[in-house]
Amino acid sequence: MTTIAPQRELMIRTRGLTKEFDRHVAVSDVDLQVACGEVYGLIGPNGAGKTTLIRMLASAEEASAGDIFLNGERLLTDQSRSTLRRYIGYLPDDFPLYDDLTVWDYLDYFARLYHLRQPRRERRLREVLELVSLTGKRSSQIATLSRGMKQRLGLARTIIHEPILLLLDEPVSGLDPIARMQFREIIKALREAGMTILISSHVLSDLAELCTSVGIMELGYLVESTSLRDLYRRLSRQQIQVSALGHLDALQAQLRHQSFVEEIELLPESDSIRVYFSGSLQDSAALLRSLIAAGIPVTEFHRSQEDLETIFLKLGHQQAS
Amino acid sequence: MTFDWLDRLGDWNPQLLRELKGRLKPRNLLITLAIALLGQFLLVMSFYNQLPAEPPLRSLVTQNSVTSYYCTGPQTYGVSECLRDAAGNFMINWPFWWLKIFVCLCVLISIALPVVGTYLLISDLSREENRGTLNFIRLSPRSTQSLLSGKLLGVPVLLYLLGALVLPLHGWAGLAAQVSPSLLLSFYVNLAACCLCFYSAALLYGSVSTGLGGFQAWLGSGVVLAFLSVLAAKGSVVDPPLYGLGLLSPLVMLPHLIASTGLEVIPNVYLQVPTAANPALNSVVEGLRWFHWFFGASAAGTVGLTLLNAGLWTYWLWQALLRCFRNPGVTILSKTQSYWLTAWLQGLNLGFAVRHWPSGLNAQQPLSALQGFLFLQLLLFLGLIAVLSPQRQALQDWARYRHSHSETQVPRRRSLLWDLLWGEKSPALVAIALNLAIAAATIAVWILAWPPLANRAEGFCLLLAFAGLILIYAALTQLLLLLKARKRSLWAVGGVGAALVLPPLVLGVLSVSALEAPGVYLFLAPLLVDPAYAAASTAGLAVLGQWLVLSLLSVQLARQLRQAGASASKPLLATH
Repeated sequence: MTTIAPQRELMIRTRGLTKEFDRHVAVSDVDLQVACGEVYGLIGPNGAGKTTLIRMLASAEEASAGDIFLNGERLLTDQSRSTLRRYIGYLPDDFPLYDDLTVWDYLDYFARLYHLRQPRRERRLREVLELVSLTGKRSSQIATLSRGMKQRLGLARTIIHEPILLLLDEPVSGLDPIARMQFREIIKALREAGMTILISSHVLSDLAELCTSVGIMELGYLVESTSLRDLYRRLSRQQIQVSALGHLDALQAQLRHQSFVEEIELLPESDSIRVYFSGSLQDSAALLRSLIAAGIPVTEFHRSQEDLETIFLKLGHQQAS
Repeated sequence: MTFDWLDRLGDWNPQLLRELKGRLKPRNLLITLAIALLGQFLLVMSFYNQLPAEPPLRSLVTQNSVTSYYCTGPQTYGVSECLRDAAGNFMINWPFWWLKIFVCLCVLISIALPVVGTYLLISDLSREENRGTLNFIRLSPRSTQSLLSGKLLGVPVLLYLLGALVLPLHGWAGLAAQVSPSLLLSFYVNLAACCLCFYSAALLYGSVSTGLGGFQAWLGSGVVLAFLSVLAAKGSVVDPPLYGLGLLSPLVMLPHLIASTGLEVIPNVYLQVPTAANPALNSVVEGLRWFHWFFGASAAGTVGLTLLNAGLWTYWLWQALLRCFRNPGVTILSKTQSYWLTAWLQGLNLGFAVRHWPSGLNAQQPLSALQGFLFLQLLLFLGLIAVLSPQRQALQDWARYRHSHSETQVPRRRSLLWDLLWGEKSPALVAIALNLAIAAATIAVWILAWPPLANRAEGFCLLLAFAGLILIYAALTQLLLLLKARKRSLWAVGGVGAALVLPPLVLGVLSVSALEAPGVYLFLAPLLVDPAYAAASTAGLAVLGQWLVLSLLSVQLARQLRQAGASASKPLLATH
């Protein structure tokens, strides 16, 4: 397994973490390392063990074997270590709430559970309500909130005590695009505040935007754990989409003679060619120059990389079932 | 000022504040007030209607005298003739009238407070568990004591309010009936201690029981209702071996409260203080003796032992709560705790069992006393099997990973026996055996202290057969908990229940009496047979049969555990 940023202090370290449910291995021998201040995205098909791993990190589930260290301290489910519990903010995928309380009373209750005293408590309540854009709803009954609002309230509850580690399990599932965007912005704000965040999601475009590192789980194993930059460098191919006036045969012939061109793919729907290119920025500039010099009437020359979703699908991961 | 007070309360115990905020709403308060006032009004009116009334004119003509329980004239069949004062009004025995109201309220309060409170607590916890919010509370840095005491004080707050609204009438009725104020106070203390004990049990049951939906609360409070109703019906006349459980009823104080009034008009035997001088109560006098301390005769003794008993039960319940609340997957008590618990219960119950044998003792009496005592042991060990037997997942984890050690721990291979006696997730069979050994050692000392007339060998035979049966139940429970079925716990309860009830039932249906087949009875239901019926060889065969069954069950358990502990890759490799 790749060790991420070994020079930085580790917020999460697991050793041989294993969880079995009735002979079914949900998480198998996972050695996970997440450095302080990182946003770590956990991806994988349904049933890969992401939720179980997060639940064990939150001490909501006891491991069958292995150890968890948070900020250097060993996490034990059977002991109520209050300091360690204060480090963690955990938002499960079903974010249960108390419908009989108002938004303010709900957050006030959790702030008190986490030993927040006045006047800091009231200040913190105002801050998180502002952050999750629920200030106007502070006196509303929770039962009257929309799903997106409830999800944001769940996040507010998770961060009320200023944890240093945030564990978010599918936080944007079931949200509409606007609510998702709002949620993304909140996570970015928390990232800027220096929180270490471990987030599992099927929305890979969100993770690509938020994360600094990713881990890929499959059938209970952590098969990949690396920085996003390293993942792109190793697994993402560079593409150049080229279009030209007239017939594309000349363009195709010209491209075949160019160095660093690995593969050419004709895209009839957009009347253009996709070039899988292994050269540097300078090499792509030289390619453009040579095409123009060869008299090809280039109308589009667009360089891009394969995104996280393409990489994930390319890896051909399996469903647990 | 109010907000300051609430704020401080919330800082001290946020859980309590949350429960109060959710419950103390104007509508709920009004309903509680209405129930309290209306209920008390109806109660007083129902007793008021029992007072003698002026007879219709026609009756006066016939010169029939008016009679009532509450009159002061000469008694006939427990009913007094009503005399009139100078003004022509009936002379009423008001202290007695108030005493009847007082006793009625005592019974109502002593049953309603534990039963309704138990229901509220279990249903609240199961609702939180089903909704998923209990996990957030568990993950908070507040101590388990703080969280659960918040629940305990907050969830039944409306019930407490109702109790507080009834208190003035109850106290007034008691004082008007000339009940001693100090005893009245001790009744309230006793009531609070018993409620604390039942509520702690409710919290424990609510924390560990899952999968029964809303039925959990009905089941839990139903058991408490049945338990307290039986005790209320029997009053202080509780069979001696069960007296330790009988002390958990707040009504155990009632005879002393009544006695302090000096009124001698209560016809019910069970409401009288059991003293040696009271011939109607000779049968229970011995049961109220703890070793050589005859506590039942004095109110202070009863209060002291009741408080001690409730306090110790509450202590053990909280030990279990502190273990299970954060981690519901663990067994309710650790094996070490179970040994201490057994030792304490043996001490408590042996105190009730040890007695001065009467002068005209027959050989059968000690054996019957032993059977009664073993019945209590049966309840204790069924409870121990329930709290010590780990679930399928824990057993699988134990079998599979018991040799793996933590990075922070010094690698140390503990012996299998050590693990079975003290380990966390190991099967309970050996621990149950050690608990049995503790109990058997105490009982053996008692049997040895029997008078020479009694047959000690029969006593030991009964003890051996009982121990064998308990071990069979423990092995059966563990095997059923290893089943792959979804409702394993229900299967275990059903399986052991069937093993307990079916054999005597089938023997009864087949009309096979203990006299005809003492060996079979000794083998399947030793508490229902007199070992004297069985020859030594028959008794030996019965015990041998039990150990044979136990060996078979143990071999099967060991085989299943070996299978569960095998590496997952083993069957995979075997197929290739």
